[in-house]
Amino acid sequence: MSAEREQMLQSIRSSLSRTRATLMALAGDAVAPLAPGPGSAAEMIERFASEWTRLSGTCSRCPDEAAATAALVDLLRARSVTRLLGWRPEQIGLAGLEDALRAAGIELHDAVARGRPDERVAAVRAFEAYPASVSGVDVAVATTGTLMLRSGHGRGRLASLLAPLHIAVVRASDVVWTLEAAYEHQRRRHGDELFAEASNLIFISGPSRTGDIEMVLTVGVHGPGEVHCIIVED
Amino acid sequence: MQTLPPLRERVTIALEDARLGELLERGTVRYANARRASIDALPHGEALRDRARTIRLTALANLDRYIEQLAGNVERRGGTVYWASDAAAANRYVVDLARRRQVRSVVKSKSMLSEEIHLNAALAAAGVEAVETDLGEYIVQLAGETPAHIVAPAIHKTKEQVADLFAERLGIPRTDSIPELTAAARRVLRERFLSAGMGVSGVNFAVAETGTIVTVTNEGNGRFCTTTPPIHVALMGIERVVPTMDDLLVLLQVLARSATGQQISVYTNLVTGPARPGEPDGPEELHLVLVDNGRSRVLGSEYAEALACIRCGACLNACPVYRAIGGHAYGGVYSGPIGAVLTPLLQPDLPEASILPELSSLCGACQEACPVRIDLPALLLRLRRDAVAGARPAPHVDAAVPQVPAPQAARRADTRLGKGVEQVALHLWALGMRSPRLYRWGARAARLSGRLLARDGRLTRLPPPLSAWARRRDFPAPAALSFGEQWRRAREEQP
Repeated sequence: MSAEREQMLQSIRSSLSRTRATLMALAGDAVAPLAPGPGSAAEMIERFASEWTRLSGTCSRCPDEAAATAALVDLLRARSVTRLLGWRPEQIGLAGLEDALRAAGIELHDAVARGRPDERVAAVRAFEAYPASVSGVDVAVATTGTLMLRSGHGRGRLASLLAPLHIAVVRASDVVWTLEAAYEHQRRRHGDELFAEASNLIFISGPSRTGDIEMVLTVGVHGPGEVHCIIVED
Repeated sequence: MQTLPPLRERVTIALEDARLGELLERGTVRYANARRASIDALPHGEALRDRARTIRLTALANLDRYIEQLAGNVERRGGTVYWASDAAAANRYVVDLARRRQVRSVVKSKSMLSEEIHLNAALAAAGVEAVETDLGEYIVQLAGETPAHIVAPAIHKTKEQVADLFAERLGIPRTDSIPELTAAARRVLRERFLSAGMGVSGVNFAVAETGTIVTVTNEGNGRFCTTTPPIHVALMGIERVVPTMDDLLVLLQVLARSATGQQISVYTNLVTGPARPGEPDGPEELHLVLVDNGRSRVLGSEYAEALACIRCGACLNACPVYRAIGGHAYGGVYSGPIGAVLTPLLQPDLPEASILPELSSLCGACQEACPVRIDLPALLLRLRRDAVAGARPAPHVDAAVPQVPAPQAARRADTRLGKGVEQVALHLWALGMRSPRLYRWGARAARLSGRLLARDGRLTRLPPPLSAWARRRDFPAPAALSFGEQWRRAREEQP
């Protein structure tokens, strides 16, 4: 226990001994309001798609995994993508994805960039040239058009950050109404130790954007300028 | 910072800059309208603000408990926590770490706290180059300036100015195209992200129950700073802690809406410890630097409520004074109404910090806009009182314990002279208000002399001893007839 830590805590405690009651009175006791809920599962998907599109994301909807895999391959072929950065296929969770990519002549590379500083730099530099990336999605939020991606084994963060095009595969059953519901969804799936194996949870709402020059909206400043969602019915 | 011109001069320069006025008007009005629309779009928007206020003030009231819980959980997840009681300690820690790891290049995502403690200068002095990666911050850094707005640092720049700056500093062909300018910054900064030895980020919120550090960006630079470099250093003011993940979700919704009118920012990045074994990417080390730098002192004062601020910038956009003069006139790191409160409290050594609370019309628009409803007008009034009273401690607190040093009252001669005059004037006023005849006589005299002194319908100059007052203000010339006289005349003319 460091001296600095004790000194700072002591200073906070001594201040609070004077103002804690005042602050509690100022705090009041407002509870979190409930957002109006969805009518149906279909309405949820509709809303997600419309919010995502409004954020200038694009979206395709597929009746099953085979159709989703085909849609992904078509999209990549249309852009002549031959190297793809991404999560490991089993983490994306589309049956037959590896075979379909191989048949189309597209290599899927797991974005591994760990270890010594020089090794990391070399790895990220190599991945920097990839034109597109693909990942799964843990849960999506309808009302805000948000994707949540949890890092972990075979689930790199760079797969949704580095390439100019990010394709995200969402299962329709993983679309929920609100941010609160999304977190609850994750807590149910992974328990209270949500972060034991995952150092990163990212909420993505549309393409990377900025308005820093004269408030003119410009996309793709650091992250992907194009984000495409493939929604798979299940 | 040493060559900061006096406040009056800064304000005058800003007011005379027509282009600045246009940029400020356009930017702040658009942000303010977007904020209003996005809160109104929610049926429970106002209730969400109430909840946000309860969360922030409850967190402050129990800061001792939550900050310990946060630190414990960050360590449990493999992070290192450093407790920095002041700016010097925080800078020393980061510089030492950079030295020990032989870091030469640092990428930074937006952190107002790092501006407050002047981290970039400390790193530069140690031969470490720190590059700002938020586009607005990058522009401001290239120009050798400080942010003019909490969320839009380059709000004061035209695209032509950015074009000149980039042509000169980046050596690119001059272009006024905003997409091309943005692409140029992307190219330069991408190279930095790939090779930096350390990423430094601010912290929008930190969640005590999980040890999670949250950074919010639209550009994705915050993600890069916390992913590609082997070391992530997160700088956090101790007041940024929130108790639970559910609390965080409420605050994220009001933050984005209040800042830019977005429902949620593009990237909300939740970091809990360094990369785990087996994770394919992410930093090997995570250091959380908890910075006090005057905050615990403020926490024990009657200004504690100011620590509830979530740095959304809504009060800047709403403030008629900020809209007219912009951020640089304030002189400190924080501007607008919240800056006029925080600067005297956190940067009391800044020249004239104690008179910043006068940069307000007390109209209340700031409190109205504040997502956590901080009573900014009341805080500004108390600071004015303290500035007049000199170093006297705030009354309701125990004088035996160390206080927020009342900002040195940097009173000038004219204000001191003004004080005596003010008292005489108030006595005369009281006398006049008690006698209708005296009042009418006094008002007529003031009206007549006012009209004589006015030029083009404005009173810009007054004879001594009122000259000091009028030097900083102008006033419309009084009407020829008082309201009472007009009323009587109108009634006489009625059939």
